[in-house]
Parts: sequence; structure tokens; C-alpha cells
Amino acid sequence: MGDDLAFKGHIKKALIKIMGKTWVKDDPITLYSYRCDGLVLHPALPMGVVFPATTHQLCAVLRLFHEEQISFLPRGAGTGLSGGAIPGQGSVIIEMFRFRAIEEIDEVNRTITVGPGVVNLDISKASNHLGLYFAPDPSSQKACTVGGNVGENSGGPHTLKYGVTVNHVLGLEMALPHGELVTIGGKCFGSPGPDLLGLVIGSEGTFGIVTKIVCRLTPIPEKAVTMLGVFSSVGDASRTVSDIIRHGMIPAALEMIDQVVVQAVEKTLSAGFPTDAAAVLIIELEDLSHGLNEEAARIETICLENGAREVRRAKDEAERAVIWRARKEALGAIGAISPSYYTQDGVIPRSALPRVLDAMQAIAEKYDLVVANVFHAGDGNLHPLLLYNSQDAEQAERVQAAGAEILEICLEVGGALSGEHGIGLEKANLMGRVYNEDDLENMKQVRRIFNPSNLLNPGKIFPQPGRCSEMKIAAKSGIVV
Amino acid sequence: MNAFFTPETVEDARRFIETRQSSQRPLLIRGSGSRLPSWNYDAISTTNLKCVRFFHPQDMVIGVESGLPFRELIRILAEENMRLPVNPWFQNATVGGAVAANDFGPDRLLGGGFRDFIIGVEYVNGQGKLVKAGGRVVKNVTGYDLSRMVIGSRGGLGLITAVNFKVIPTPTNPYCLAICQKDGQWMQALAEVHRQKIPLDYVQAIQAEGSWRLGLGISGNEARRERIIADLQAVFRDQLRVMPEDNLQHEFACFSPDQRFSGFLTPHLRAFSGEILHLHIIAPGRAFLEQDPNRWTDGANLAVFHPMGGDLHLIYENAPNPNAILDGVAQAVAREGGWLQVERGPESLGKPQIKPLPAGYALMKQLKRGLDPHGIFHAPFYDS
Repeated sequence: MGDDLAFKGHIKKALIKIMGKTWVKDDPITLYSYRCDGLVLHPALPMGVVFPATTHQLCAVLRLFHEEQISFLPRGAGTGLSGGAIPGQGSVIIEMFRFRAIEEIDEVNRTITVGPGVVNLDISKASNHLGLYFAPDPSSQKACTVGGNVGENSGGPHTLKYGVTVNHVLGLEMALPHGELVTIGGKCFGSPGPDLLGLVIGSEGTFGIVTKIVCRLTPIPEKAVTMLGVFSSVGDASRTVSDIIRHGMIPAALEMIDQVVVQAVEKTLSAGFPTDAAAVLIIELEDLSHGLNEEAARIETICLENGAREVRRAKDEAERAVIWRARKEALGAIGAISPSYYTQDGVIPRSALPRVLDAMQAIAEKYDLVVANVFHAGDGNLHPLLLYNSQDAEQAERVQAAGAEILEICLEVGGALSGEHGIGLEKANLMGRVYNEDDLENMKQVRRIFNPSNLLNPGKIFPQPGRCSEMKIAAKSGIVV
Repeated sequence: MNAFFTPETVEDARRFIETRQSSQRPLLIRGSGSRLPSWNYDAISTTNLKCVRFFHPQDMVIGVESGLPFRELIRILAEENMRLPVNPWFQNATVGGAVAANDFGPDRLLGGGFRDFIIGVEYVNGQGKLVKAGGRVVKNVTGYDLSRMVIGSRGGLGLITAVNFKVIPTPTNPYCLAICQKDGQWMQALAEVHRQKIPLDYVQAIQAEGSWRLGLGISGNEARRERIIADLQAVFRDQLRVMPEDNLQHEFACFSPDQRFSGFLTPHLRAFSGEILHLHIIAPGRAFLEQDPNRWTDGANLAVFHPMGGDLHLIYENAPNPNAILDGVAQAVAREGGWLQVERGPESLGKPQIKPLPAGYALMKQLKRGLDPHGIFHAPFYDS
């Protein structure tokens, strides 16, 4: 299977010279393992996979690829959901997990310097003893790497109050595609000139390969109050979300889970969520202990005024942990009711939630699919899960069509294609629905400055001619996902 | 004779820039002129581009044209109990000007900066193309984040014509705790506040005429406020005066939201009639919190300090040797891992001064060349 794609002899020899034999792989099993990331609909085999451990090795590899005009892309834990780490046919994957050093923790500046291969949650673990943590908390935070978070500008449930990755990174070291190492930002809250850091974060691994990250740390809140609002109608839950915000309150998290997901969660985790509820809201407040119960009482009142049949409050840390485990493992729990699922990531104005949730249900029915919802309601960041069987190509096509229609609805109400998963391979062909040619050309001009030969992660973000038919072929390619 | 064009519409602006393609004359982008009282170039002004394109309080988002005065933006938001917690430096600043300069101030550490609130942008690039990026929702990773790219771009990458922001509710029951001191001992107390992680809304310290005024902002319900006040008084040994933000004593009026969000430097600068040297220093918090503040301000007529947001404005009037001042401060800043930028100074200082050049400066210059290939936009920042 990998014979056609394996490294040519002189390239493999040069790569082995740089990294050693153990860290240069092009055997069929490795290639198969790296055929996709968290998006399983469009697998493609890489030419090979390399595992540099130092910036010196990485830059040498990049210089070699530049000379040989070989395309390549970085990969963290492979948890991305938009196909950003799926290789174009024949690209080399640069696996960054060996860049996992946790370097300096600066308590006064509240920064920690880490390698891109460090797992998101490990940053908080390394700094908790100082009363600090790393706020971005994607659901995959036990596995995803901070380098991937930087690439995708990842969010998570608590971004409503604390912001996304770009709000928690102060500096980067990055290797440009031709092998030059550059530094951007530092330990300050800003630096003179255009905000390159803001530009690079979220560029989906198409500008450079990040080798070091200065993360901003946040004080651990003194107290958290976690509530579970139970609703008999999705509409009531949606209106509650808007009403809480309209009252001038910004909870740390405001998440919605619908009945399909609650039932899946209860099958696997037994979190005690009511399986007959149409929707539940997880609402978390974080602050000083003084005054927090009064704020929680205000939230409870708003929930009840909007038709909540019950508002539970976690009595202790153990109960809180159960609620969050259920939320963060909800996607995994879907496995109990469906062999595969396809998740979308559209964003809408939160006031449009009731209308859009109704429209999504109608789309699912039109395509004879089941849609489940677990999402960041406070941000208006939807994650509809379309349940299907990936072995069924016809069903896979229906899922893609339904997903595209859902995104169309998001755009119609003034929303966006992606809130935190990125465009990647998955939504590249929809970019023309959001931006006109001048907008896209300007983005490409910016990419050319960092990545002039487009050897780094080609085929991502921008519409590709003929891509639709390629994707259909990929779904039927015989590469089992 | 220099041309001065004030377009009535975004399309007028775009066409004007498009027609400059063949011209070899540089064009200066000007908002209200708060940073550029005089100039010697053709200029385009955004002052007539001041529409509010949308404002949805229920979604906490607003989109405005770039020539809207920042104070007007704040007023519109306040009508719906909303706020953009970013502090412009000058009272007549336009939204576009404040974004292009990446203004920030007392609310930076806890409120944020433009990077934390910008969600969309529209600009005319050097090829006369109107470009949009981002959108109207609070979370968005659809394509490259060109909205953030224009923050701090100093008019070199394009003419910003509109900006979309997410906004936040105004704080509940805001109070100011303030102190007046001759010496700089407040910094030790502030370092302790930082160490104890006492949550503040803003911090600002001002040194003028030989004494310091320090203002700390807090808010929240009564129980929360009382707790914070008790914690702060314990650190400051009961020296802090506690005032509701809408009823500040005269000497602390500089900490009012009116001043913090409507050009916090301007009222202080009115005291000076001579030649001004204005240095802006950005440094890691450690550089400020662990040192006597007077170490930084020696010889300055005015210092406006945000130790927990990591920046400092130093103002010198009729400085006898500005080059020597610049060199001295620049050396200290470089040792601390920060940057110094001359915001205003005598012509004898020569070309724009940033010391040291920021990380990634070569990439910034390449961006300038890429997005403005004919060099239409005059922006000295990129000339170092």
C-alpha cells in the first residue's frame, strides 16, 4: 500500500542522517496510522512520517524538503476535526510530539514556556502548584497538544469568559517553511507593530511550524459553582442562554446538551443527567467565594423564569467533576449509539439559537439522519453531531450534504463556518460562501509571505478546483476509516 | 501643496486609493490627527466614515466605521450598559486610529486589549481592493485572522474602514480604591496584590509634580466588593480611599471611566506647552512589579504607569538632551526584555525609533511589501 508513496532513497538517507533511523518512517502501518486526524471522512496516505526532536533537526528537515520541493505538514496529537493534519497525497507528516519540554514557569509574569508537543492539560498540571492554570480547555485537552491549539486557535467550554488560545499566548518561536527560525512576541502583553501573533495563531499550520510557545497563565478561581439547568424544551434552554447574557452576567461556561447526547452519556457514564429532559444547560460561575452564591441564585431565577423544570447545583468538587466528565466525554459517549458521527462547528449569534436548532433538526430529517447537539451555547458555537455509519458511502455523502446545509443556515443568520475546529480540508470549498475573491486573494498574499512555495500544508483553507469530486472519491477510496 | 482627501463613503476611499497606484507619492492615513498634528504628505482622512453598521446588545457585538470617535463608540455602548474595555490614549482618537496604534492602558491585564475584542475588519489594501475578514460573531476561525493583523499596523498595511468588536457588560457597582504617595512604595504593595491574585478591574499609577496617584478598580456585588476591599486594605495598611466610580474625589477623577475610555493621556498632556518627548515602554510585568517605579521615571515630567498590564508612558517637556534620555531608557528596557517606542519627539531624533526592533520585524516589513507593493501608504514604522 505504501510502496508508491515511500521516501525516495536519497531523501530517506538524508532524513536518517538528520534524525536517526528510528525517527524516519514510511512503512505501510505507519502511513496507514497517519492517514487522517479526527476527521475521518477524507483519508489520504502521507509519503512518510518524520519525528524531529530539536529545532536544529526540524530546520534541517525543512531545508531538505525546500530543496527537494517536497510538501509537508505538522501534526500534534491528531485530534483536529477539520482535516488540517490530513496529508495531501504524497506530503510528509512532521510529527511534533517529541517537542514536549516544559521549560520556564515565571510566576510573576504568569507565563510558562513549552514545546508544541506538550499536552494541553499538562500545562495546567505543571502550573497548578502556583495557583495558576492554562485557560483554553478543548474537550480533547487530555490528548491534544498546545501546538495544535495554536494552529487551530482552539477554544473549549470556558472560552465564554476567558477567551480562546490567542488570548492566552504571548510569544512563539516558529520555523518558516524554508527552515528559518523566527520569534514572535515574547513575555509582554503586546509588542510594537502588526499583531503577528494574532495572525499566526489559527493559521492552521500553513505559515510555519511552531517550536516553542510562551503561554499566559490565569489564576485558578477561588471557587466554582456548577449548575445543571433541566429543560423540557430546547427552545426554553436556548432562550435562557440569551437571557443570562442579557442580564449582564458572563458565566465561565454555558453549555447545552440535548436529549440524544444525554441518553448516550447516561448509557456510558451514568452521570445522573435526566434522560427525559429535552435539553440541559451546564452553567458554571467562577470567582472569589464571596458573593458567588448570590450570582448563582440570580442564574437559577433566570433559568426558572425561562421554563427550567429544575436547576441542580453541584454540592462538591466530586459532583462538579462528574458533570464536566459527562460534558467532555460526550462525544466519546456517542459511540454507544452510533458507529460514527460527523461534527460541525458553525457559529451563530446566540440570539438565533432557537431558530437555528429548529432548522438543524429539519435538515437532519430531510436527509434521514439523527442529529445530536452538545455545544458552547454561550458563544453560539454549535457542534451538531450527525450520526452515521462510515462504512456506508451513501450515508457518508448524505452526512456531508446535511453538514453543508447546516453551515449554510449558520451563514444565513450572520454566523461563521467555524468557531474553533478550523477550516482545514473539510470546509475549504465553503470559504467562497463567506469571502469574495478579493478577500481570499488577500489571505493568500499573506500566506505567500510566510509560505511562498506553498509546500507547507497545501490544499487547506482555500477552495481547491475539483475538490468536491475528489472528496467523494476519497470517501469511496477503500482506505478504511 | 499636499492633497488632503476626506472620503464620504468607503467606496470613495477605495477608488481614491486605487487611483494612487500609478502615483509615486506616499499617502498618509489620518484619523482625527491625534498623533499627527502636522504632516508633509498627501493624506486621506477617515473622519467622515463614522456609521454604526450594527449593534446587537443581546449578542454583545458592534460594528462601526473606522472614523467614528472612540468616545462616541463608548457612549453608544453605555446606552445599553455595554463596554469595550480598551483604553485609547487620546481624547479625539478614532476607532481606526486606536486600533492601528494598538492603544491599551489601565484595563489591559484584566479587561484586555484590541486583540481580545476585535472580531472583524474591513480595509482597503495597497492595491485598492476592499478586503473583509472575520465576521459578526464572538468566536470565529474562518480563514486567516486578518482582523488581528491590522492591530498595531500603524497605517502601513491598509486603510481600515470598519471594525467589528465583541463587547462586555459594564461592571456591576464599580468602585475605585486610590492612594496618593510621595514615594514609590505603592509598587511593593501592588506586587503583593499581584502575588495574592486579588482580582482587580484596572490599575493605573500617575506621577506628576513629584507625587504618585494610584487607582485600583473593583466591582461586583456587595459581598464580593467587601472581600476585595478588605484584602486590599490589609496589603495597603488601610491607606486606600474607597469611592464609588461615579463619585470620585477631584484628585482621583483621572481614574473615572470617562477618562480611562476616552483618551486617558490627553488631560495630563494639556499641562505642557513646550516640546514634548513621549516614550512608550512595553515590558513584562516583572520589570515593573519588582522595582522602584522611580527608577523608570527619573527626569520625566509625567509618568502614566500600568504595571500589571505591562506598559509605561514617560513624558518629558523641553528635554535638554532627548537622545541621551532615549538611549538611557532604551538600555533599561532592553535589559528587561521589553520595547521602547518614541511616540512623539523633537525632529532631531530622526527616523522613527523603536528599540530594540520587535521580534518578527522582518516579517512585518515583508507583510508591508506584500500588501502594499507600490508603497502607497506612508508608515515610518516600517522604515527602520
